[in-house]
Amino acid sequence: MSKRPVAKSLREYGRGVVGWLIFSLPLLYTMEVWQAGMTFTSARLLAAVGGTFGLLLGYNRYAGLRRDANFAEVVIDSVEELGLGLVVALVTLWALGQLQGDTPATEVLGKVVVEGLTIAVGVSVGTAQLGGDDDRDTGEGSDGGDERPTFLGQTVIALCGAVLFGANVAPTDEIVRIAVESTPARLLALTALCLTVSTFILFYAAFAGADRFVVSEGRARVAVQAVMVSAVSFVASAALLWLFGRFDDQGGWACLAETVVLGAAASLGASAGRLLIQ
Amino acid sequence: MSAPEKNWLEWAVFGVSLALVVTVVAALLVDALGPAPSPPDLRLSLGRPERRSEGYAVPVTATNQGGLTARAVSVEVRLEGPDGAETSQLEVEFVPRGSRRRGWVTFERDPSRGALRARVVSYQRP
Repeated sequence: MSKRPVAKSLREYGRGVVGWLIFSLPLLYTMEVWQAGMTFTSARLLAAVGGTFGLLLGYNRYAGLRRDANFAEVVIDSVEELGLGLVVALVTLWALGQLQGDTPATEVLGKVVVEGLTIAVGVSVGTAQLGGDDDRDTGEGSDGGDERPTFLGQTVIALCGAVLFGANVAPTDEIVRIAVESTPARLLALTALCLTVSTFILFYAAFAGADRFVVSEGRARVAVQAVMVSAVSFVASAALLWLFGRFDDQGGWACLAETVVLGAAASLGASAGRLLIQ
Repeated sequence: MSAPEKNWLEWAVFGVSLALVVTVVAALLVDALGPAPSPPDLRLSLGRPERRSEGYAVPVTATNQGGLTARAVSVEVRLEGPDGAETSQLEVEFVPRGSRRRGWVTFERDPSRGALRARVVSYQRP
């Protein structure tokens, strides 16, 4: 029941803050994300906060630094990451000139929340991933070998990876542009290509961690994983597109096309990203 | 096998984070549960004309007093002077609710010798 040394926790927080630099930086430098902060209604911002918190809970539960953590610890970690994200967003947005002295409170709130959420996810992944093995309290000694990956856990981490990758392109205008200019045949080809690439990543490319986190006996499992990856990436991309207002006033076909286009990026997150962030 | 306990630093970070998150969520909730946002309502005000190396510049401030952000705001300022009329335009990308954006419109004639009229021509939903 010893207390963790202060220096060690300070190092952990530092690592998390560096983590956002690596995983969330593109979003801070993306105009559409600041604009999202200006145009989102409060209800949409609330949905974003809720969704991100759920994602953080899932990630910290199944892949975070302390795999043996109980539910209360997972909640505490997630709240800390959200708080760090908001503070870092405030400082960085000011440094980037996006917050001026006369910016009204509603605009500050919108921008800080939108950026803070993406940063929180980066902080979470950074804390968990950038540490050395000696800093991992996996509880029972040996690293990972004692726990078999559960399907639910892998699905949750795949969702985190899909959102992490998808969020980098979801707010850009290019998604809508590609979607409205493409034909059904092309979208179908894109989906097939992504399925092939993610199956290759999970089962044949021998990525680090693939043997540990993906149970690969039998054709049926390959099919199950492929279906899971595409389902997760479509869900993630639809949610992100809705959040960034890409479904507003759009027809059904345009929404579907956008989901497929973004799903391509998200499926890389659900396959390769998943192996990298756990 | 129990995990180490949290130290004062971790509790402090947690406390501050919790306060921040609760404040943000409360602020958003209050706003979301309030009345539905009113459409953009733009008010223009013109500053004193300034002499520039070519012509004259008039400062324009657009303030959005509505509840929704106005996008692609187009402002037209018309100068009616003794020696003819002149029209200038200003495009503002975003005016969020409660925010103001500032810019200039320029004229060849001296605006102080005539009447200036500003109006918002159009804007889009966010």
